[in-house]
Amino acid sequence: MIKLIGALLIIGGSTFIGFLIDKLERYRMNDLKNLQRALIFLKGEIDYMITPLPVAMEQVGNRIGDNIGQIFIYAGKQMMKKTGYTVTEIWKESVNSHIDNTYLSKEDKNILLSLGNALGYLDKEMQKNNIDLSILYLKEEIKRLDMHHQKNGRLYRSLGILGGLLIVILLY
Amino acid sequence: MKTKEIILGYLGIRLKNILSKLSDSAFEKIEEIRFRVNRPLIILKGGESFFIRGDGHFSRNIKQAFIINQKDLVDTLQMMGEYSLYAFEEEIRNGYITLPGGHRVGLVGKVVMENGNLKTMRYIGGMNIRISHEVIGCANKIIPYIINGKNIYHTLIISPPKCGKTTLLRDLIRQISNGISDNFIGLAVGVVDERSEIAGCYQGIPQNDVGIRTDVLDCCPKVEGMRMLLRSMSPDVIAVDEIGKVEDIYAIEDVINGGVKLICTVHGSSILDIQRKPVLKELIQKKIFERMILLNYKNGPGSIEDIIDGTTLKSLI
Repeated sequence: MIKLIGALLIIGGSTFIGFLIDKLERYRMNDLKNLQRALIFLKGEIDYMITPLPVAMEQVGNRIGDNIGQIFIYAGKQMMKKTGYTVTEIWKESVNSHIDNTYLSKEDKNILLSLGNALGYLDKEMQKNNIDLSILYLKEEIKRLDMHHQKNGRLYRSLGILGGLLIVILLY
Repeated sequence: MKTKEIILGYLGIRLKNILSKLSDSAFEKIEEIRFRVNRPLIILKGGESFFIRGDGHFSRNIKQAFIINQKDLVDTLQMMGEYSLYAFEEEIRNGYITLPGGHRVGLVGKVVMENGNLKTMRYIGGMNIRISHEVIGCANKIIPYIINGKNIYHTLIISPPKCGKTTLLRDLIRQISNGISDNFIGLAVGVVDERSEIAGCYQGIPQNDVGIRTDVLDCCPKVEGMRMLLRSMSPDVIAVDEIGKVEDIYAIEDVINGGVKLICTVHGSSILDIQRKPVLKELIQKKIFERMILLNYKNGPGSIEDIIDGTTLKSLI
């Protein structure tokens, strides 16, 4: 009887791990998509509405919501405080303190940080190009992840169940 | 908000730290703050220039002077542009940014041209913050000479730079708009504030006290602005700063023909000086202005040199 319960636990656990790996990728994908949306909004605010950056950041953050939105809202709020720090510094602080609440990878983080290096002090055209560059990266990454996911998503899940079964059979 | 708080909010961190050591009262007396890359920070106060020491005290010894570096100006420009210089392209093209409260920041640097037009300014090399002073009541001495029954005279304020003509104009506007006594209950004043210096508008709302019956067209070119106000806001008085272009005359004539009273300021040191300038000469010959007020710097900014009757050209004081 105990053996049976143990076997079920092993299968359950490994299935869970398989699903988790799959889920994590899907969460990251979700965050990347939100980030992409945020940057497209931001570009629009700067390019067409010529909204000042602090206001634009906050508006974009509120529209996106979620943990990704928090990065923008926090940065916007800090800028409004007129502390004397540069955009690059404020953006870096905001990314560093909020990235752990998201599923973004280290590479994604670096892209976000490099976006901050050119925010605010260039003319409209350069701002647009700079944001476009980040959007391009996100687009590629989402595409890559999507293909990867279609190929491997089911694999992770079935591998979880089958792996569990294998261990149980070997141990039995 | 105090002048000090406003200005400090628009400085890079290093400049902010050093200038925050000045007391509130010392700050109120400052006329100009000048930043030049690789050169000392200079503060103009009471007509004299001072350096500032690392501990935030005024000094005349250049060896102790606080030196500005390039990053200070880059950071400060970012703050003044509210982290959004793309939204300030027009201002930078004109060479100045106006901060809330009407403080004007002049910029110099490397100019970038495109198709023969000034496109923008890169590498800002110097900045001059002109602190705008709101001196409530500074027009008290002048007001009796300007009032004509229930209305006012067409008035021209003539002043060399830095003698407080904009400050005087602002207080005149405030008093005319609020009214002074039961005999003079106040007139509707329209202000064309081309450089946001008179009302110090921020997002279209005057930050300085310009009176209860005052309408401000912010950042609007004078000629278009005067005509717009005339058509749209039916003012009793129109006030503008720094006239002198040929087109200004036509707009001034429109205003006067429309039965509206006019108050303007102009750069100059005497009536003779003004008469040498072609555009203004015409205005004086036509005896358009009924009162002319001359300012000087003898007893600090806003000292009155003379008040002249424009039709007889005789002194009234």
